Amino acid sequence: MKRIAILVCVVTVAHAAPSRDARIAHLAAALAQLRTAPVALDREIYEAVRTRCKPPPNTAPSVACMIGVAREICGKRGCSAAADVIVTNQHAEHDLLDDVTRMRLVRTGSDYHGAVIAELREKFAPLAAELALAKQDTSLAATIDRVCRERDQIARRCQPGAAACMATIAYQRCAAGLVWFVSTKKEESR
Amino acid sequence: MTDKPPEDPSGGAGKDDDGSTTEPAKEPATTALDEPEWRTTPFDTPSPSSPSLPAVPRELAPQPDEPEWRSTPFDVATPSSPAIPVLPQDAIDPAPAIEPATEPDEAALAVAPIDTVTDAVAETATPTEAAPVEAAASETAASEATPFVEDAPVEDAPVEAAPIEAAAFETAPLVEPEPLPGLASESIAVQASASVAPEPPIPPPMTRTPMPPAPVIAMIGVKSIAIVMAVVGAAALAIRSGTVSIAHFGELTIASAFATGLFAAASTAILLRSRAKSRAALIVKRPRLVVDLPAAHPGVHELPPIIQRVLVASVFACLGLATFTSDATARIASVPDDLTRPSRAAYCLDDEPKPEHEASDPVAPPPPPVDQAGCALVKRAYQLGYAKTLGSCAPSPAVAAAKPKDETKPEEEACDRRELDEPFLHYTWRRVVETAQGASPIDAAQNRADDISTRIGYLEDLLADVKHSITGTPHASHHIFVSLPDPHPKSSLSEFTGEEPCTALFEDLPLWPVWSADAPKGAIVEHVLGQLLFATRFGSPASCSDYTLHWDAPADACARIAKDARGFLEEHDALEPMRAVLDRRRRQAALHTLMLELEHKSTLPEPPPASHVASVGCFSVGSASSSSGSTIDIDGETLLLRAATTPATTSLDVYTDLARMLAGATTTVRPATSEPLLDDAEFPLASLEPYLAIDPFTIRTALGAAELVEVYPFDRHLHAFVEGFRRVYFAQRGRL
Repeated sequence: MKRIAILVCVVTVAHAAPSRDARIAHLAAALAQLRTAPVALDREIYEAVRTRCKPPPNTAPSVACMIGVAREICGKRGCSAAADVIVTNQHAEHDLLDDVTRMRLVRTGSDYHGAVIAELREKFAPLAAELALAKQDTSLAATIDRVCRERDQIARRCQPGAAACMATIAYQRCAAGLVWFVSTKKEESR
Repeated sequence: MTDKPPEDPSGGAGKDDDGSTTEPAKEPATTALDEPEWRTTPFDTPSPSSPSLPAVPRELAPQPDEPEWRSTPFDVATPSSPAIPVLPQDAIDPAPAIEPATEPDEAALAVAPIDTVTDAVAETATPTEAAPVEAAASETAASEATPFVEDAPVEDAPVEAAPIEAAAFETAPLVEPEPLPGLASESIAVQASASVAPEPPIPPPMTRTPMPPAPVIAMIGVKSIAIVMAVVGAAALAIRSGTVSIAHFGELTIASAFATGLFAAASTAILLRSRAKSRAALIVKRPRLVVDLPAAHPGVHELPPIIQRVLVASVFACLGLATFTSDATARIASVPDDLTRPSRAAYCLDDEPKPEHEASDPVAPPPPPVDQAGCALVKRAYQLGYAKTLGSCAPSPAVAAAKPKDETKPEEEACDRRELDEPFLHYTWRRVVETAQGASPIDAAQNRADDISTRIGYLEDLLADVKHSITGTPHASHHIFVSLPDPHPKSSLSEFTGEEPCTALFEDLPLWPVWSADAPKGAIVEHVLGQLLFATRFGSPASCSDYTLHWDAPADACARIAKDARGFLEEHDALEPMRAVLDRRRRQAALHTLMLELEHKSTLPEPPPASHVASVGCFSVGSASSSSGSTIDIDGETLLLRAATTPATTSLDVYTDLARMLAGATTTVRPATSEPLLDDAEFPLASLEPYLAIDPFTIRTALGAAELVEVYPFDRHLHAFVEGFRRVYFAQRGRL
């Protein structure tokens, strides 16, 4: 029954993916919106999601709930593109950071979410290096879109436990991570 | 400076160096090539034939035992020159005559300008009387210098050297030899002989006139230059590398210092065995290199020998300091001990004590912290900030389990090698006895004969196996007939350049290319086949050299193969490699049996079944997906024949149908998701997150649009699909 429901849902929405130009415009808008107080917006969305979505232990909140919360916060401020990046990063947190790392962050710091953001920034650093080395397109958003779209097409082999190597990453997480990385400073994320 | 040849003013008569009187020569004296000018030009001796020859002053007469520098009166001029005043006898200061002329006299240098003296001599002395030595020496110098100074005219060298030679000349004071005994009788003998001989022209009376010496060009020997350069280079390297530093000297051991000193002294002694001057030198005023100089050329200046030795020794000391470090010296010193130390392979030695860190069992890494049951809520509360500490739910390190004693470790074997204190003859005798014990020569010979007889029975297999190894028979031969044109059609150039190796073709396959509508389906099939079998990103791949793709195959290829396998395969050049592989497999199976018969541990594993090393598949494009399977018989071996048809609408079709053709039915478990898919234009990035759990191989409609294909998270889904396929397929395939 669940599979049928998913199939119906997929059939209805699968053809509605954004085009390349729409993706680039969205990333450009996110870069522009994150120029002012990105950390404050991230903290605001995090606190709202934590109190309202209430995911089960050791799982990420549902995307639909997070989008709903973010839409409420940005309804009047016009920060939906930035909120999209923030929601994507917060949803990817459980996949990008393993349990041991998250427990270490819980144990060692008083600001768990700040530590998570800093840890994610460390994860995104190799991507940022690839972005810097990549051929530049007409805009930073276009470069980010192309780098993240083509990145998984090439096979990468990482040594087990290599912190500075990310073998694969989904497009949306790559794009959201890079937009966040280039829009914030290291000091701000801590 | 003159170009005329010098003439002998004395008419050829004179004295030898040993003081004996010589007969006057009929011809003018000439200069021997290998003899210095001053020795062959007896201008300082009076002519014995002259009746009015005045008695040579005792001060000027050469003595038999007199050094050369004293018997060479460069400062004596002929009195016949009208322009040169004759110095009175009392004007000669005898005091400086004792000193050799090699020491420079600054006072003399200051008496008259050099040019004045030189010019005066040149103007007043006639070529035939006053300047034979100068002319000869000038020519000699010119002939020596000009061949190596190409652009310098012959006259240039003496002119340039003139100040130096004049200075050298002025440094030689006027010499008045001390009165020597026996001079009177010598003069008498000269006069007596003169009365008998015909009268030669009367030589002019000799007067004391400064005579310019032979022109000598100041040069620096290359030996000195090389030594100085070596010192500078060695010092620079030593300082730069820290060899010459207080820290390095502080670490220097006595043995190292001794080795360094020994090396420097020995090397210096070997290198500087000769004190001879350089045969090549550098002209000072005009920095040019002159080579092939005569030995001990007076113009070549070298560093004093002691300075040379010190400098060369310092160079080798620097090398020694860099080379003979404390460790290196200790290693060199331990060479004799190492050579004489008994080998563990030849002697029974006690076990070496293990280092402390190796004596105990290796320290296992600390185990990961153990999450305690029932603490999830506490942790969550702590994570949300409702609890300050985790309390008893804090992760506690797991206690490492004690390592059980390894009882499978074999006991130490008794050593049968030579003991340290065992005489050689005793050891030899013991080895002979041990070898002979329990061994019957007849039994040994019988066993050997049986082995040989058994091997002869398998001789054909042995030789065939060697032939397969040498000729490079494939380890497997799988043939796939595809009813699509070759995406890489062969060009005529490939006849000369060869085909691209399959390893390069499948080396860097993109994960999921976006195929256009007019993309050749053969390229899609080739890409999918490469991903399924040969891509390394999904784990251990198959060997692409074991597979042959037959493009442009008929759509009913498998039906025709099932009807006439040999004919169809031979027509497409597939039968021969398959037979070779099957034959190689048979030989390996025979050799495996041989090893079992010989009761030897087989070095060859039992070969895989024939259907694992050779197979035939057919892949065609049709209206719908379908697959079938059967077997064929090649040389008595049963091989698999599988066929699949695909609509090839999308890559997903090719993936699933090709996997079905290769491995049969594949089952992959796909994770389900409870995340609903979203279509939110305001949050396009977050809307893609649920696709991480949507497997396109299960829910094919997920790939609806090309825009979605561009950003779809294929990686984890394709990994799951290919890994599941390979688990099934590789269990059915093998290689020899």
